Amino acid sequence: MATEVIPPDERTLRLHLESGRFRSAAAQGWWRFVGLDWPHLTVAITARDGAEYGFRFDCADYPHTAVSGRLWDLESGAPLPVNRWPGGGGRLALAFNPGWKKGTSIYLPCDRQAIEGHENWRHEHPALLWDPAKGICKYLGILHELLNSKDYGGRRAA
Amino acid sequence: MAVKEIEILLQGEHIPDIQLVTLERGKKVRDLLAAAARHRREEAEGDFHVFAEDSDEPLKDGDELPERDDGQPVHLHVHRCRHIEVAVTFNGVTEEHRFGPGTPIAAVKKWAAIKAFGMDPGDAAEHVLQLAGTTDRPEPDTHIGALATCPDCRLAFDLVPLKRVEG
Repeated sequence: MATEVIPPDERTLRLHLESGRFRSAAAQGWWRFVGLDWPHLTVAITARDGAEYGFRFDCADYPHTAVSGRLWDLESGAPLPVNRWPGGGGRLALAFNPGWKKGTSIYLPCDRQAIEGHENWRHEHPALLWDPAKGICKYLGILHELLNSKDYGGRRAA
Repeated sequence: MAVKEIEILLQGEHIPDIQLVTLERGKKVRDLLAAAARHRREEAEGDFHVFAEDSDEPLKDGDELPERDDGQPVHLHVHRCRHIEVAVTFNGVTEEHRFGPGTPIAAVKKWAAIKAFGMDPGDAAEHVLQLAGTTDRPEPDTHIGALATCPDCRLAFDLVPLKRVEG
């Protein structure tokens, strides 16, 4: 009988999803695991008003290479329509910018697509860079902070 | 059928990050002390204590381990320091307060921003604690005791504003 071999990047991600750090935030209702269809991870994050936003991450070569995340419709399993994106101003509006890469990436230093061409971010925002040791939990923590910030103003169409 | 095991999200001195520990239901505080020793990165002598999250007083060794009503894992902390002396600096002013080692960063930030420096909750949400002299910003659910080692039971933070990420 053939034995399924899990590649190292998927194996490491699964370990991080089972870690105390991931479970701690889940226990507090900050986020919840939705699914893993390698290399795509789906997680729902709770905002300040109780709204839940789905995110899908491309996790190929995890954790050596940063993941890339986008807003995701958990019901239809497709990119989230822009009118249902988180709305607001300041830091939040800059991060969730539908004009950036046509909405396929979050405009944050921890994102694989966004960091490309933004070498200045490495010294301007060291606390927001991808950290292979912390992996997906750090990226999720940054998103959770934004969705619970003063800049968050609710769902766009709400 | 009753669940026979409880899950504990454990933090503490010399313990890396947050460890998920599973023990049989009904186990005592002293059993968690033994489990915590197996998670420490290095040997440490002295009396360790177990703290419930946000508590100033340690649990008694013979007490049964606490559980949450909602079935989620309980956050506990193991440390030799009974308290952590915290200093937070903002705009050149430093305020100090004493917390239990199982106090989360989020609670310390709330005390500093709102109580010590008079911010409203909205402005407080736009600031974070950064370990003094570093760019390290511990996650809000990190217990402050995880950042300190006995006998140096103290920490210093800067309260810093969150910056916009622009091109």
